[in-house]
Amino acid sequence: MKGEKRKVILKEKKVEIPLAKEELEVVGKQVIRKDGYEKVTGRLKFGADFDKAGFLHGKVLRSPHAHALIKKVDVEKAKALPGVVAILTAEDVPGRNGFGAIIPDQPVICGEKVRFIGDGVALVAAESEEAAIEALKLIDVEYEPLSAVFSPVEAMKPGAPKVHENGNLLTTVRIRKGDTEKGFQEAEVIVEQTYSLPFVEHAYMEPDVAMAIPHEDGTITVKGPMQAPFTVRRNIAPVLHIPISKVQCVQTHLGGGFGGKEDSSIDIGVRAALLAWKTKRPVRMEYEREEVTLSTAKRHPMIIQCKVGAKRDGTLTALEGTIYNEQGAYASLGPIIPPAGGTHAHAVIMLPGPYVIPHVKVDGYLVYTNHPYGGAMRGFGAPQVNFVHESIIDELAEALQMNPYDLRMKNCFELGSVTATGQVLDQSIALKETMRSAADQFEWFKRWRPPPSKEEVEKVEKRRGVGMAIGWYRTSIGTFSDGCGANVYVHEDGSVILHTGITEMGQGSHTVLAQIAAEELGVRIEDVRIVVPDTDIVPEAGPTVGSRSTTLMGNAIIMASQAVKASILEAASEILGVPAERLVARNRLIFDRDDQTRGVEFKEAARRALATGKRMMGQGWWAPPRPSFDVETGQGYPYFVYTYNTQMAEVEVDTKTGHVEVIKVVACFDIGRAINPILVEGQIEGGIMMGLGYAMMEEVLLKEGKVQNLNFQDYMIPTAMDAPEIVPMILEDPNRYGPFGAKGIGEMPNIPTAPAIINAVANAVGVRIRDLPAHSEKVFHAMRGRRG
Amino acid sequence: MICLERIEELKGVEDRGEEIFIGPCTTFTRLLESPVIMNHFPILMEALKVLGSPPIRNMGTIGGNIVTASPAGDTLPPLYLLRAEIELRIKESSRRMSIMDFIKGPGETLLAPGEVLTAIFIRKSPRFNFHHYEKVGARKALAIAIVSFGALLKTSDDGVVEEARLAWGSVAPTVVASPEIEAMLKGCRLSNQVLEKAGQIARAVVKPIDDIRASADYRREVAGNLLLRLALKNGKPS
Repeated sequence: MKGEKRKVILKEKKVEIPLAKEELEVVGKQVIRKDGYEKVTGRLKFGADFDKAGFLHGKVLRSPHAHALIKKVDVEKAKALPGVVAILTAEDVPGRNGFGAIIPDQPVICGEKVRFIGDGVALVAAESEEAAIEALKLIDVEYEPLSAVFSPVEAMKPGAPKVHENGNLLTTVRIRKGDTEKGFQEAEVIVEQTYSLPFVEHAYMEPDVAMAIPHEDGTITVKGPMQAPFTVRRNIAPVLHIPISKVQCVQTHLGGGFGGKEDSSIDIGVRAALLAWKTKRPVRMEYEREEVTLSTAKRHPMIIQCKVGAKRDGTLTALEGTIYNEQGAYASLGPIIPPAGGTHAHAVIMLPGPYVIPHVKVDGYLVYTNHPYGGAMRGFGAPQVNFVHESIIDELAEALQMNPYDLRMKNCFELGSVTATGQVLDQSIALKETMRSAADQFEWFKRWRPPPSKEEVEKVEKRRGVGMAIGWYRTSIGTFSDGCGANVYVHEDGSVILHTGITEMGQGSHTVLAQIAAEELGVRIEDVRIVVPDTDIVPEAGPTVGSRSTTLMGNAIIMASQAVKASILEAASEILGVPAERLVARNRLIFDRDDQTRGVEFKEAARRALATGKRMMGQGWWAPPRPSFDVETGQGYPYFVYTYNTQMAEVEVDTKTGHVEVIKVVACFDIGRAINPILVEGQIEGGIMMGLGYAMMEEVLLKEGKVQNLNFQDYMIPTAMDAPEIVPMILEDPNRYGPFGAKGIGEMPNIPTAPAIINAVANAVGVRIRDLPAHSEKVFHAMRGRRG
Repeated sequence: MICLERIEELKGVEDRGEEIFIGPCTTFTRLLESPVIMNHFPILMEALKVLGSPPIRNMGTIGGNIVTASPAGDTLPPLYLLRAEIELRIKESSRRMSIMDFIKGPGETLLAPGEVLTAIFIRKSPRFNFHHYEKVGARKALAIAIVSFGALLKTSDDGVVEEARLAWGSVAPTVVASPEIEAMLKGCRLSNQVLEKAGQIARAVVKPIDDIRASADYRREVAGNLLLRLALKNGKPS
């Protein structure tokens, strides 16, 4: 590999990317986080930390009914309350009364009816928070309750209450590959099961905030922790009935997002903007923790029927699946815009898992109900289906009396494999290597043994077991809006400003993107400053989702850096009398490749470049190869590259209480190239903890449409004390289309964790949990059921 | 409402010979750091270790845990087992009573209006050579107990129980004790069979409820099962 350079096509433009680590100065190195000092010293301001002076306080009146007609909204008493400045109802919306990341089907203020407990019925702006809260109590709403529907299966039945006028079935996505009937005839062993997954709350630490400031020139600024400022802007403009160019969205530092703030920042941003627009005064809104849990998007619950067939030797012959995906009250990030996109299509595409299966048939139904709504959450539909394929593969292994590792190794993707959608995986695929490396590290073959009999379980108080799961995950959204831009400005002292609309949520993207710019320009990371994403300043970036930031934005930054670097090298060439093609920029120096004693400082070249009128800015725009996907057949190339992962878990189950303790997780990833290995490890460890929560404790409890566990006393997420020993491992099979070979890491780590843990529980005590979470009581009852 | 936080007399741990004084405003963290508690009441230490999280232990006090009178109060089973007594004061008068008499139900105590909890006294009881405390919760920290169980045992050299005290938390309006099981275990070796039988009685004694954290059925089953933790290993309590 040393010294090897590979020609890489970056959207018509040929770029040389050094693939050998030895040649890199900043990429692949441990650097100090861009936001590290401010965060660890507590000096960094989050959305709620900004001065409230001068702002009105905005509040939402929320529906107590899951489904009801609004007969009358009487605001007179509330309006008369001292300190109240405005009470808005549906007729006060000047433009489109709807918002949503994909379809604007959620009313800014409900007019005719409410569709879930938490729906917004009126907005209040007042001089004080107390007055705003008091005003909420004085608004008199008359409802006519309607019968409600709380399950996707029920909602699909004829005669079910209609959540929206066009019916409850929002989207159907299918995969048709080969002939599953034939495939099951060829099978010698068939396993069929139903699995179910709960609503899960993102539980980001920072609740939502928005500050909206109207200006005298008819423009408006909205600030807040936004995961996707451009999506917020796109929603505010039509609601206020003004052009997008008059809306400015400015991001404040996010205290966690995990996909949730892609949606919630639209919800709160649109409402704050509307209040500011109508009152002509700055308005600040902040959702309480309980409001966040009650009213913002969650991970979709799903009920999934799955059937797999295999030959005696383990060769998979067919897979069939039916997904009942509960959308809840509003479309959010559920549905599809052709050629791909939405959580639902992604779930359907991912259900067959990273396996070569000749015959596949999947029917996925995305269905409205009167529950809170499902949206994007770390993994975008994949954690649910990964739990299913990795559970059923283990169940199949048991039926075949095979080691589950061998069954996976026999069938999983490798270079040249064809997916269920007909995509040929022709590069950057080291899934089998992640299995081998994880197995070596974990000592899988030494530790795995067949599941115990019930007598063996009963004999002991605590019993250990091991389990594994593998997974794949896209890099990119896979829709038409995947393009992203970057601007790079070099100044006469050698310092650099980078404009990118990718948001920093704690994942470290601003550090990684600065590394990419620094590497490409030949400066140090501390020379690069990233401005706060501001839609008035930074080019369209798309949302910070889909594990796309490093790869897609990284490419745009490389292009922008190269464009401005040309000026700097030209100036250096004039100073040194060496042709620019021979010059190399590295670590603040520019030198002659053929005679490394001849060089000039980067800043000196920059000074000359400015003085001689050269271009001091570079622009880059990159979009991945255009995706394709047919919703009727599920055939196409929905995503251009995938990350691969193997996780192995060891658990100890208390046979007297059902408590599961996760002892150790080994997780090995093929991520193309780790731009910042420490941050990659951070993503892996955090993701595994999130997956552990999904496996064992996280669940939004609903009763007649009402959330029962609204705050962190009742909604359980794992603590540091619940953390197992985690061994993160990174493999690098370079991605032809990625900056320095990189692909995404943000979401992959939290995906195979839950099935690895649940498979380990089955291996420890011989009971299989098919509905998450596997909290102590559920495991206990399963063991008791087995005892009879 | 009056804040008691800065009254120094209400804080600290003192060895007073026969008994130990604990100021009700002593934080859990300070109790965890106390060598007196460690030496005399290791079972209380076990409960303190799994109470809340470091920030909560830094702020929360043992007096608060008692007066809150939650069925899930983490220090309550050990305080019952240790036969803790409390002192209440109002103006010039004071009274002293056992914690069992003081706590009447969830959030209900004999604390009269204007009365202040001013002391907790625990008699030293060195005869117990074995203790056990366990909390079953949804996670390892910051968890409200689903069931908790504590035991103090005095056993002979060959593992025969001479005295047993048992207490369960979170399975009834107040901490549950069972004189019946305690009497039954006296003179027995703690085999699985004996404890299974004791577990049956425990399941009948507890009065759990269904709530967001667990079902009554699970709590009842586990309350019985936790007795098995006392089983003899190599002829001795483990």
